[in-house]
Amino acid sequence: MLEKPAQIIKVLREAIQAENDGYHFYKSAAARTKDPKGKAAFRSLAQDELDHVSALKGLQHAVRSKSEFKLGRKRQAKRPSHSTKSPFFSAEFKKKLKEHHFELSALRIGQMLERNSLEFYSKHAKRSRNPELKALFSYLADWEKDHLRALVQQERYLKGKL
Amino acid sequence: MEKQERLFQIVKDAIRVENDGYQFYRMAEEKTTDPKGKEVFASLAKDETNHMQILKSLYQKVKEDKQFKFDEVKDMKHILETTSESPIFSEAFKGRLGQSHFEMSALSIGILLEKNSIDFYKRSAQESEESDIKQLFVYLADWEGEHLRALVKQQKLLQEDYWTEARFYPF
Repeated sequence: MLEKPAQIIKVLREAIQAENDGYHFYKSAAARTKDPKGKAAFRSLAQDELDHVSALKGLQHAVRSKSEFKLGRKRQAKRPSHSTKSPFFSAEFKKKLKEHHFELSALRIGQMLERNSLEFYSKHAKRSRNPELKALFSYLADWEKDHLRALVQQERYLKGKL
Repeated sequence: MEKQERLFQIVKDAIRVENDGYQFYRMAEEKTTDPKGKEVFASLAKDETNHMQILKSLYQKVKEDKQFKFDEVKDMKHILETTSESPIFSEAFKGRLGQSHFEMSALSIGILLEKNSIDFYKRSAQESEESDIKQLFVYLADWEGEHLRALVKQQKLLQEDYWTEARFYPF
């Protein structure tokens, strides 16, 4: 069970690292893909991961300073939908795509990262007795689930299965 | 026939797994500014290319000759050198650690990729009935295990200092 501040901070640190990994990966993918629409989609995903880091750091600060952390306003705000808007890539790009393009790998690596985060948040949301952490992790798990769904859908789109 | 189709599906999936690793390490090679890091990521990418070649040869042999001999591929040279204390980055890299966010993420992502590959090859080895094919999947799982150990070793060497310098440290 996650109860002690030191345990909570340790878990938050792992979460921040994982979000940073996602951020750096999507940022690099945005720089590497030649498709302008793909660039914008990867940049949006990178921005989402930065927003997650900021929420996690907010809770980290609250735990450290023993102050209150309010997820309320964050949760009420509509999550940006541009990072999961289909399709990620332009129709021209799809036509030129071959089986072993970087972009298909980027979508699969993204899925691996999102799945990893989703499992992490779900596991710790279940284990925690701290209501703020439970609420934040459930919220982030849902958000990562949206990313995962979008990345799976985009892989299917590029492979012509949609 | 059914078994052969299943094997071909496993091989196609394996090539996709290897290609994801290849693409990732190529990107990491281009992006890191550490010269040793560049070299090592290039080696990791090259290893993944070699794995793809082995898998393509397995596909061809089974398709054309209906058989595959593990002995023909088992002595392939492993490119990555894993024995040094800092197996991925240069010694000087540690001094720039506070700014090396991409590289630390590249280690974490590489670790996840290698773990996924190992699980995949272990499952494929269990599923395979032909001894030579089983041996090949175990061989590839072990090879990815070498990559994993190098990445974990490097991450352990740098992680605490990175967290302190990048202000992740809890206290």
